[in-house]
Amino acid sequence: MEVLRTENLKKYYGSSETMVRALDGVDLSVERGEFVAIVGTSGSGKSTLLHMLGGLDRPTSGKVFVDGRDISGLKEDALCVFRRRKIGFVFQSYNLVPVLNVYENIVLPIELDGNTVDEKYVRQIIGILGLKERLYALPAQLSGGQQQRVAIARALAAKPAILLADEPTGNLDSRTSQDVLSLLKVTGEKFGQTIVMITHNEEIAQLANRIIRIEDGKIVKGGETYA
Amino acid sequence: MRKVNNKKVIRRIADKTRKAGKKKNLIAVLAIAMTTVLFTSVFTVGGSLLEKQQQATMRQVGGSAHAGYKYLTEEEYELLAQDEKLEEVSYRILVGNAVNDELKKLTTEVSYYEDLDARWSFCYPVEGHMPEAEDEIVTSDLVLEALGIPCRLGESVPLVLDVAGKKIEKTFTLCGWFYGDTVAMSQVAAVSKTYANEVAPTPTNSVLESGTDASDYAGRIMADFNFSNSLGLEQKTEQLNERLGFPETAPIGVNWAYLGGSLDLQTVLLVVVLLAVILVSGYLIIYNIFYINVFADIRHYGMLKTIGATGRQLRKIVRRQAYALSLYGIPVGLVLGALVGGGLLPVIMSHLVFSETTDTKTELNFWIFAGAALFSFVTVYLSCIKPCRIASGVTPIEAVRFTEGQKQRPHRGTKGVCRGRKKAERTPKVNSLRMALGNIRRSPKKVAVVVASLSLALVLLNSIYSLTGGFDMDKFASSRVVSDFSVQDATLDNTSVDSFARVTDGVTEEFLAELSEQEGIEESANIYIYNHDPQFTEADFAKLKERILENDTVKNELASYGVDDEELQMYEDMSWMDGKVYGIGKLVMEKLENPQGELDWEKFATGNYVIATRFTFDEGGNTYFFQPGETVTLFNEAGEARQYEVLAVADMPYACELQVYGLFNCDYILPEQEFLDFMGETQPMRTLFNADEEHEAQIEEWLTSYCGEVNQDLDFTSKSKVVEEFQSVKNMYAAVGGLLAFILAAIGILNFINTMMTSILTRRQELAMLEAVGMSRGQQRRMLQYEGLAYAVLTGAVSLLLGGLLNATVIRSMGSQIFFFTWRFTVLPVTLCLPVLVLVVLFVPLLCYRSMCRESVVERMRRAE
Repeated sequence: MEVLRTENLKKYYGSSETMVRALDGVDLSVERGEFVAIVGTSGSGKSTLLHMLGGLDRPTSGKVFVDGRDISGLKEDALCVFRRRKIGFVFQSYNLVPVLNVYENIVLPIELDGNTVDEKYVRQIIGILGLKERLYALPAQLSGGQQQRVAIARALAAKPAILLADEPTGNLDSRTSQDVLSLLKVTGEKFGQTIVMITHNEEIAQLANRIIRIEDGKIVKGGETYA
Repeated sequence: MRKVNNKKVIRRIADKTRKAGKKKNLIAVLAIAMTTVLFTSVFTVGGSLLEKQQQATMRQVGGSAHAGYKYLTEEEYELLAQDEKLEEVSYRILVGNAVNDELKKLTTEVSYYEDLDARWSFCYPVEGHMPEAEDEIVTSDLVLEALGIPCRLGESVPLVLDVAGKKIEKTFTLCGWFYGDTVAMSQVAAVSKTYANEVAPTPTNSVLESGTDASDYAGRIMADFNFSNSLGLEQKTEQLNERLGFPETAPIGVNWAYLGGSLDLQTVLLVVVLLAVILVSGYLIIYNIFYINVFADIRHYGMLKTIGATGRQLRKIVRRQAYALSLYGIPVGLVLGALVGGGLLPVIMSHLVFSETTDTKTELNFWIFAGAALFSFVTVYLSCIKPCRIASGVTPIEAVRFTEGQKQRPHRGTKGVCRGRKKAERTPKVNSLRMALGNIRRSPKKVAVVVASLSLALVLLNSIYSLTGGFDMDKFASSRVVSDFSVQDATLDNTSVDSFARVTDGVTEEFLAELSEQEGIEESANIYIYNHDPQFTEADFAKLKERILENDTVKNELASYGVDDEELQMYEDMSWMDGKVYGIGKLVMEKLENPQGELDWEKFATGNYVIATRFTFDEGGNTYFFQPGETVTLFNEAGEARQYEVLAVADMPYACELQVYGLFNCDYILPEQEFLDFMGETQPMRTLFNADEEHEAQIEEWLTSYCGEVNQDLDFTSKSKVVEEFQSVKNMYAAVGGLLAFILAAIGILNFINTMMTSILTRRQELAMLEAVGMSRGQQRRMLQYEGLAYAVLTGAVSLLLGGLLNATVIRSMGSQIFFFTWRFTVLPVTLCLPVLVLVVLFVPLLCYRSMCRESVVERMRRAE
């Protein structure tokens, strides 16, 4: 079943001569439970694509469907609510709230939505990600790998339709990167979570079920590989 | 050490850093300017007052020279004139006094003046020239007016001179005149040197050692001189005296105007406190601004350090930014402050004794600006110390990883953190409020500074309000008038007139006659006084001895005035005690204070009774000279005695009595008829009367014109005048204090705005990320508003607590120094200001947040990487 689809997605920055075509007609489809890696060099438009998918930015033209719903027309606050319900983000720079402890950070999106936390589910995630010991620590007291695991837990906690990861290992050394990624993959598989990850690192991309290559704002035809 | 010329690059970095943050700079410049405004206005007002007071004293003394010798011979003057340390020397030769009948009230000293000395003595003619021909004279318009001569050159001026006891009559020709000064101790007239030499040749015998008296003044030289500056005049004159070889007894005098004796400890303390308050409020905001700026730029400084800048250089960079901002802020503040000070000066001056004698123009001089600028600069300097240290102490790694609030936590020890967090577990709901509180706790120092800054203004406002709100119209009025109107001689209540020179029988028969013709007078009464110490019979004094002289309470009270047993013994030996006898009408009797015994006018008016008074210095009011029912004997000037029964014991109201006091003040009060019969016919000291409401305005008008034109010796006080005076005293406090509180409040709010703005700006990635994970803008706005509210709540708590505390302590004790003050507990101003504050703290975050939201989430998040 299809959970994410884009139709002729375009994003242009600036105007006329200085115009940058960050995305230039992207058609993409992701099935539920898939782990997709989007690979491209810096400036290829992969980050822009991720922002569009997550509803952080609006396309110049084209459509984005998440769970069958077109999000390109949503208003700012509606988008925000949509994000906290349907999308989980993992950023390169962790982006945890410094004043909240690990547990509070993890349940933040749920509580912002005013929902009760599915304790059992969250405990499960915490267990898998190995954060049990550090539940009441503040982000500043954690290592980079730990912080990123918290970010992953936060992204999963709300049971989103899609988990979007933007260079999740960009700030980590290679061993920690491997740990974090395998955890990401394992939890994804265990909970049947759809994951879209962007990276410039081919080796990391190999962990995904499918790799999509992007260049100059377009998907490279025939560049798709399946694991 | 090798000297490296890196000034240029430091300067460039500092300037570029500064220019990068235009908005931040505006706030810093505003803060510096406001601090300077406060300093400048204080200095302008203070400096002007000192200057005015000095001028007023000079005019009173009649000279502006630093110091002078009296009664010199020519030889001695020559010696003085040659002294090298004196900047200028000049002299006059005393001839004598003008004693025309018309000048009885206007002491006029006649001398020959050198031109310079005439200028120093404010008697250089505004029209005409100094006397040259033998019969020429220069004098003031006041003297001429008294003599009935117009201010026209060439007029004849007939004078009777008293020269060393000899009366000389001479008619002079007016060759010049100047504006006389009513406040001067004596008027002067200048004659030619020829005439002075003729009637009063300078004696050759020195009187430096022996001293002299009025019979020998004529012809002696009065020398005035200036040193290069007016500092340490007393010491300088002593040294001068030694240099000249004059004896210590030589009559040398320093001009009072330069002694600054009027600066009492209380005033100095008040000024110090005021300057301290301004300094603290300035420090709070400027420090906060730079502290925040340095933290905002901490990555920048860390980066500079990575590429090799030393801590010292970073410190210089921060400092230079501060100085550059002062360069804008201080001049603006100086100009505005001078304007504010100029506006306040007349308001303040109208309540000072010497205000009648001088104008209210601001005295702007270099020192006022220099002082204000210096204080502002010192404030900026102090404010920068800590931020500089932070910038210079930054390590590159820390700087790159730095987010506010993370730094101190690990230092506190994990235990504390864990405990704090465990508590959080029980209420795990994360909402806007909890996040806001977390954010507030991130930088307690910043919060403390802003709260202190805001509270300062509120506490000050509260104190000012408590003080002026405590001003009690009734207490104030009763000290001035007990009836609608009161008429007396102008000198009577004038504290600048010597007590013996006050006229105690000034209400003329002509006035009383006109008064009786006025319509609408409801009742009136006179107060007469017999101002001679009473005589006592042996029996009476025996009582006084027991009750007063041998009373321990009295002894203790008097000891605090320096009266010892020996002196009390003298009173006992001489059967002496000071006191006065008043004669009063019915209206006044009804106003007598704290009566003990029955005040019955019918009974009192029979003439068989007297009302006795209390020993004034006993604050309990329980020390009576005589008890009701006792019999006392009074004596009149001729020595005749009359016996009276004491009807009651009471106090004369302050507004009714002669405001001159002795040690004991054993006063008697008689009904007016009996008083006149026994003490002899005299004119009243005061006449009190009430008018019906219809005619009040009309009578006030009549009095104004009567006392202004018909009889200028008389003066009147009225309820409405007193109310006006009261209002203007109150307004002065309100204006000065209100303005100060207003500027402090502006500083506090500016501080809050700056803190909120930068706190939102530095957290823009964090906020963007929160938005990314689904915190809606509404939720974020609420969070920021909760943060603002936390400031308001803290400020409210601190101000209520401190304001209340100060009200109950400092204001209460300050108020007790003001006789018309009634203390009341109030925190009303704080309570009233809090809603306004709440509005501000709710509104400011919204504005800041909105301006930030102009950038999209993606743009803001990207900055992080």
